[in-house]
This record gives sequence, structure tokens and C-alpha cells, in this order.
Amino acid sequence: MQSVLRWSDRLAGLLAGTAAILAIAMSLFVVLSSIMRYFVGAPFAFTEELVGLLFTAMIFAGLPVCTLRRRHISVTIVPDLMPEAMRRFIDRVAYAIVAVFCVWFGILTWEYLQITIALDARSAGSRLLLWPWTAVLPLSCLLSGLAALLRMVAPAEYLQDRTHRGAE
Amino acid sequence: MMVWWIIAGGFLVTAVTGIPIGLGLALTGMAILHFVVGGATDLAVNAVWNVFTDFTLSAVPLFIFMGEIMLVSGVSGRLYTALSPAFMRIPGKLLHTNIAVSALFGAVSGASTSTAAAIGSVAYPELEKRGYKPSVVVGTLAAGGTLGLLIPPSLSLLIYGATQQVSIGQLFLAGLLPGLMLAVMMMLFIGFIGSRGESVVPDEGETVGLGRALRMLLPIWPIGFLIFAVLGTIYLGLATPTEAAGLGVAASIVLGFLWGELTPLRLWRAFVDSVQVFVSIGVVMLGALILAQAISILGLPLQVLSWIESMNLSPIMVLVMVSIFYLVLGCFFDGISLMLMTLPIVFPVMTGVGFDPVWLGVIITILIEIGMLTPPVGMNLYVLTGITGNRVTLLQAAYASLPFWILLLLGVVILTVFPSIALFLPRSLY
Amino acid sequence: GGDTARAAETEWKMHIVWVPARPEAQAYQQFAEQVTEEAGDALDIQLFSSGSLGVKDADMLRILPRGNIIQAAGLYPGYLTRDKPQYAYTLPPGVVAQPETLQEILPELRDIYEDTYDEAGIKLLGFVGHAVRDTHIMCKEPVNSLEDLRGKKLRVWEQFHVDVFQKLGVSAQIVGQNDLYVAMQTGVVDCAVYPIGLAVTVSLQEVAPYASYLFPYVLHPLNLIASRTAFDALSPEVQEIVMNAAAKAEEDSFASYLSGGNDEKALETFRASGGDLLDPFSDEDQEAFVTAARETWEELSSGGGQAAQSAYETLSQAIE
Ligand code: NA
Ligand code: NA
Repeated sequence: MQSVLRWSDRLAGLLAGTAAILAIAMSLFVVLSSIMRYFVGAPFAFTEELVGLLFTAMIFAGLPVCTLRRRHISVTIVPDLMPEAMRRFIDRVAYAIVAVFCVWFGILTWEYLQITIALDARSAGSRLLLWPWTAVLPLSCLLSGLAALLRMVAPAEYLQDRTHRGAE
Repeated sequence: MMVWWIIAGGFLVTAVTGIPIGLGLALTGMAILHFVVGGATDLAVNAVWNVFTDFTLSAVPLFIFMGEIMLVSGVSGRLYTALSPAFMRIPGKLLHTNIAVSALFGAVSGASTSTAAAIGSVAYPELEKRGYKPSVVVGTLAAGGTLGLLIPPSLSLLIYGATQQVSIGQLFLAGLLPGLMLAVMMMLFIGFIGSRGESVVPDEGETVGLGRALRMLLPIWPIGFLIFAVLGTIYLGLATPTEAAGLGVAASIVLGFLWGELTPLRLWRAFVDSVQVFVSIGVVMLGALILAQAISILGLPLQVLSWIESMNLSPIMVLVMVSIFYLVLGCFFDGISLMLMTLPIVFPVMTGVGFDPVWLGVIITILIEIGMLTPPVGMNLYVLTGITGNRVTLLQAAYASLPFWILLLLGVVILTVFPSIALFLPRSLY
Repeated sequence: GGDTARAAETEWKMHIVWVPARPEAQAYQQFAEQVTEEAGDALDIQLFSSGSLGVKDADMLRILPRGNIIQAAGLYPGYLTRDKPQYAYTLPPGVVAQPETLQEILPELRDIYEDTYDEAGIKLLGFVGHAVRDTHIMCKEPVNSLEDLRGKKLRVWEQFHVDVFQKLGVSAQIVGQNDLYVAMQTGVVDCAVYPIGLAVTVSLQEVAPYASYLFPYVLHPLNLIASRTAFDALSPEVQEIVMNAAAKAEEDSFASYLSGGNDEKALETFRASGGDLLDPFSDEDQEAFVTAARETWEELSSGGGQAAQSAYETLSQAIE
């Protein structure tokens, strides 16, 4: 178990780095677009569509990390009122529900990917190939689902690293 | 109505188990699509894909990156240290800067959430460090963000004007005074809570003379470079608002290296950390989109409005009903999509009973702004909760925003009694 | 909710993106009302305007065929290019010099669209004419020649025009609908390709008061489509009512399109709010534009795959 947790944490670090690279690329292309507008009189046609795709990929690359490291925004008033053992149990239930989402949304995005491939869909303006970007969604759901399962079964010590539940 | 049972059940499970709110909203929407709409769950992916791949949304994460870079390079620290003495004598102190800077930012940015992201990511960490009560800081930032939509340019007034064929120039002029009025009301309120002597603002801090306080602002002139990159480039037509967000990131990096303590490693960490912040916000966006898609494909908002229309009410009662309608739906929908969905009925009904079309644009903008501050789908709250790293929880943020929520509603009342506050400028200049 | 006077046997939801005040929406409204009235209890069509069902035109090929969510829609086929890339080159704006031609080539266009719709499980009920006939160059300063336009920053709505104007030595960029007003106000762009008939709805004359005619608003005609499953489930009598109503909507909207009536009405608004309609671009400039557009069309179609090329051959012959 310990080594699974250690490896999953490394993988999460890798994904967090990927999301950051996507974010940097996104910033770069937005800046490039305004520089081109100023100097050449027109931005590259592809920048807007590429930025939208980078944005989407960035969120889904970050989703498994967010799930594993518990960085999601949530309302935890009810669990916080419970005794420690009960709270841990509710946490595991919550992660089971997150896993259900990941499976359900994962299947839907997988189907969306297949349609995208079948239609050879491309972005409307600059004809960027879409399926490699669409493929990020089901992959992200798969990894997020694994992260949720891991948190569901992980030993209690591992769950100690809870993030802040309010500063006041 | 099975829909309402699914929504109630979904919210209950989300609150009791503490699952991520975005995923709770998403599951609720997917359940409606599956059970009520007839197996149409694939619409969930369509809705998310269509909005996420849209260019304009990217301004929000870019502003968050900018704020984080300014923070780690110490630039925002210097900014607030220099600003601080000038505000020491005023009750509420630096909290006023949240409103004032948001209003200034609103004069170039057309969106509410980007305004909250831009100002929030710079201001929150500094004010928290200086001992301001976190939830109050978040409340003022969420409220300040709403000025982004009211003070021109404004995305909601643009879309209102384009879809209802009302002069956009007149709408922009009409939004200006009400926006400033609300900014002043918010600052008065901050002064009020600041003077009550509760531990909302820190006690310490040297008080210096005005001249000295102004001289302390001189050394931070390099920040003018950043302000130009964001505000000046939009104003001069060199960049669109989204591009200005990108230029803000670039300028904060340049400034951080030349003037602050930015290092390549810190820069990398800033991106890694702030992406995670934004991902948590993006997940809520995802859930809100799916739930909104599920409700709108059923045509529910139009049904409710047709019902209001059929009651033949007096003008004021129509306004009250429409306001309640926006306040309730504002809990579930993002403001712009809500407006697009409802205007086909709200506009003819309201102008039919005699309300001015330009005035109505301002009122609807304020009403959908209130929705930005109400859970479960209040994007300003989520952006700020995300920026605080969940240190201020969603409910604390909502509670701290409640007074501003009431101020905005009061603004609607004032504008109803004195419509010329909105209409004076457009009438005299057109 | 839903306590309307009566519930018909079959109810259709119909999606369009236009807001109710627009002529396009009114044409579709006319269709929906005529069917609802003539079909009696057999079929009601409820029109959801402004995209209020929350779905996008681009997804219609995927959503409509099932027939249990939305049963009918009106759309601009140019929005389907993500799934049907060849539509980007089917009838790009500017290649036709006369608006009347659009009505004449409807049979050829019908074949092209039906290829797509039949495959997807959608029935093409008919066409709807555009709301406006004329396209203008709208500027902050008086511009009515290609010479003046060089050196200005021009906003266009699609990539095709970026390429066409590049051929003419004018640098053009795509600016989104929502950004246009502010972009024009602050000077991100100096001019925009925009029909006056549509410009007055977005108050563009407030920031770009000078307009000059350049080419007719001829592009994909609007489609009126229904789910094949939903259509086949109707009785033959009701099917006939639907087809007749579609034909009526097509006839009326094309008559309105070719009359230029909406353009005239918009022109009054345009002038009343300070707009200045300059002389049209010279005949040479107009010809140069059409020539550049046709060259661009041919180049893009030859690189756009088999479907694009055969559509190009059919249509370029038809418009001669
Ligand atoms: Na604004
Ligand atoms: Na809300």
C-alpha cells in the first residue's frame, strides 16, 4: 500500500507539472496573439482556438491531482460536526461518489472521443485536429477515478493531511 | 416534478458527504439528463466542451497566474506596504482598495469573474498577511468583482443591447453612475464595519501625515508598468481584455525579475500552485455548466416566466416577481447564460408594462450580479474560495458577501425610485 | 408547469439561436405557428429562441437525430464546420455577385446538405432566407475604396475573408461578435465587414458611423431541419402540413430577403442615429473583390478533400 501511495504521489507531481506547462503555453499564446495584433496587424488565426484547447487540457490534467491531494472546493459542515471515526467513514463514502462520477463522466467522454475520431472533427476556424485534445478527458477521468479509489481505501494516517477547513 | 427531487437530493448528498461541489452539481445535472430528459447524458460533455474551449474564459486563470507571480516575487507586498499608510486613518483601511481598484479595473474589463480573479489574487494574500479578517476580505472582493459587469465596458450590457436591439452606447453610459453609486455604498459599508471596532481590520500600523503617505507611494512607480500592461493596452486598443490578461502575466514576470525577488524556480512553483487553484475553480464551472444544461434543455425558465406573464400584474409587482425569479435562478445559472435564456420573455413583459429598455438593462445586470454572490453557483465566490485555498470556505464567503448582496438589492430599489440615476447620462448625451 | 390550454398528441421542441425580434426568428416562428394551428391536436411545435435550450448549432448533427430531446431546429450550416469541414468552402460569402443567384441554386444546395443530413438521420424540411441582402464595410472614418482600406485594421467574421482580403492587400483579423463594439471603440480595429441590416442591432454605427456597400450577403441559406425519427412518426397528413408550412416559410423569407426590405428599415435606424452611407465601392473594386473571393474559394476547395471539391464544381457551375 505504502509504495502504491508513494508512486501515485509521484504521478500526481508529474501531472501537476504537465498542467503547469499547459498553463505556460496558454499564457504564451495569448501574449503572442496581442503582439502579433500590434506588429503584424492581425493575430494568428489559430491562437484563440489553441488557447481554448490548452485551457481545457489544463483543467483535465489537473483534475486527478486535485482529487488525490484533496484540493477541491467543498462544503464540509456536516462531516466536520461528526466524531473523527464517523468523519472518516463519510469521507470514504464521498470518494466512492467521486469515483462514480469519474466512471460515468469517463464513459461519456470516451464516447465523445469516439465520435470526434469518427467524424475527424476539427476546430471550426483553423482546422486544428481535435481528437488528441478530446482524448485528455477520458484519460483524466480514469486517473481521477483511480485517485478517488485510492483515497477511499487508503489507511487513516494518509488521510490526516487534510487541507484547511476554514481559517476562522 | 422529478426534476426538483433530483436537485434537492443532489444538493443534500453534496452537503452531507462533503463531495467536491463541482462534482455534486455535475452528478445532479447528469441525473436529470438521464432520468428526466431521456438518456441525454452526452449533452453534459457537449456543454462542458463548448464552453471550456472558448477563448474568453481563459482570462480568469491568467489573472490568477498574474496574482500568484506578483505574490511570490514580493511585488504585491511592496505595493500594499506603500499603500497602507495612506489608508490608516480611514475606518476599514485597505479594504477600501478592494472596491476602488475593482471599480477601476471594471472600467476596462467587461466581466465580473475576471475582475474578482485579478484583484482577489493580488489582494487576498497581502491583506490576510496583514491581519485583516479573511472572510471579510473575500466578501469585499466578491462584491468588488460585481462592479466589473456594471461599470462599462460590460459583457452583460453588450449582450443585452445586441439581443434586444438597445443602443450599447446608451447602456454603457447608463451603467456608469449606478456602478459608482454602488461602489460608494460598498465603501460606506466597509467604513461602517471598520469603525465598529471589531477585529475585522488590524489595529497596528503607523499613522503618518498625508504628504508623507503620498511620498511613500513614489518608490512603487514600476508597478505603473504592470497597470499599463493590463489597463492601458485595453484602453489604447492594443489588446482585447483576454489578451491584456496575458500581457499582465508577462509584465508581472518581467517586473518580478527586474524589480522583485522572482527566480525561475519560484516562477515555476507559482504556475504549478496557481494551476491547482484554478483547476478547483474549473471543476465547479464544469458542474455548473452541466446542471445549467440539464435545466435549460427542459425549457424550465421559460415556463416559469410564461406563468409570471400570464398573471397580469402591476408594473411594480412584475419587477418584484422578475427580481425574485433572477435571484432564485441566479443560484443555479451563470449570469450571462441566465440572461440569454430569460430575456426573450422578460424584455417584452417589462418594457410592455412601461419600464425603460436602457434602465432595464442596468437592473438586470445588477440582478445577475447578485447571482454571482449566491451559492451554490456563484462564480465570484468560487474564484475567491479557490484563491484562498479553501481557507475561507464557500459558506463563510457567502455569509460575508450577504451584506453586499443586500446593498446590490438596495441599489435596484434606489434605481427604481430614481430611474434618472441610470438614465440621466444617456438622455443628456444622446 | 405546462398547464396550457391543451396538450397535443405530439409536442416538438425547436431550437434556434436568433432572438425573437430578428427576422430570421420570425420566419421560424411563422413555420411553428402554422404547423401548430393546422395540425390541430396532432402536433404542437414550441420554438425556443435565443438558444435558450442551452444547445449549440454545432452539436445539432449529434443531438437532433435521436428525436427524443429536440425534434426540430433552424440553423446556419456554416456552424457545422467542426463536424463537416467541407461546409467552410460550400458557398463562402463574396463569391456570388447577385443576391438572386442564391434562390436559383437552392436545388444544388439541397443535394449538398441532404448528403450530410440523410447520413445523420435528419430531414431537411426547407430553407429560410437571410434577414439582410447587402454587406458593407463599416468604418470609424469614411472608407469606400480598397485603396483606402489598405492600411486600416479590418475585422472580418471568418477565416475565408482573412484570406480574400490578404489577396487584396488588406490585413484582416477575426474579432468575436461580443468583442467587436469595444474593439472598434478603442481602436483594436478601424473597420468591419458587416451588413448595416445587422449592424444596427449591435449598435455598431455608434462606433463605426461610415458604411459603404461591397458585396451581397450571399452565403449558406439557413436550414429548417427535423429529426428523421420524429418526422417519420407523424401521420402522412401531418407530414404534409409540416412540409407545406416549411415551403411557405421558405417562399416568404426569400421574397423578403430579395426585396431588401429589412435593409431599408435598418438604413433608417442607421441614419437616424448618425450613420453615414457613402457611395458603394467602385465597380472595379467590387469586381476585384468577387474575383479574389472566387480564386480563394477554388484554392481552398481543391485542398479541402473530395466533398469540398465536388461541391465547388457543382456550385461554381451553377452560379455562372
Ligand atoms: Na466593466
Ligand atoms: Na449564484
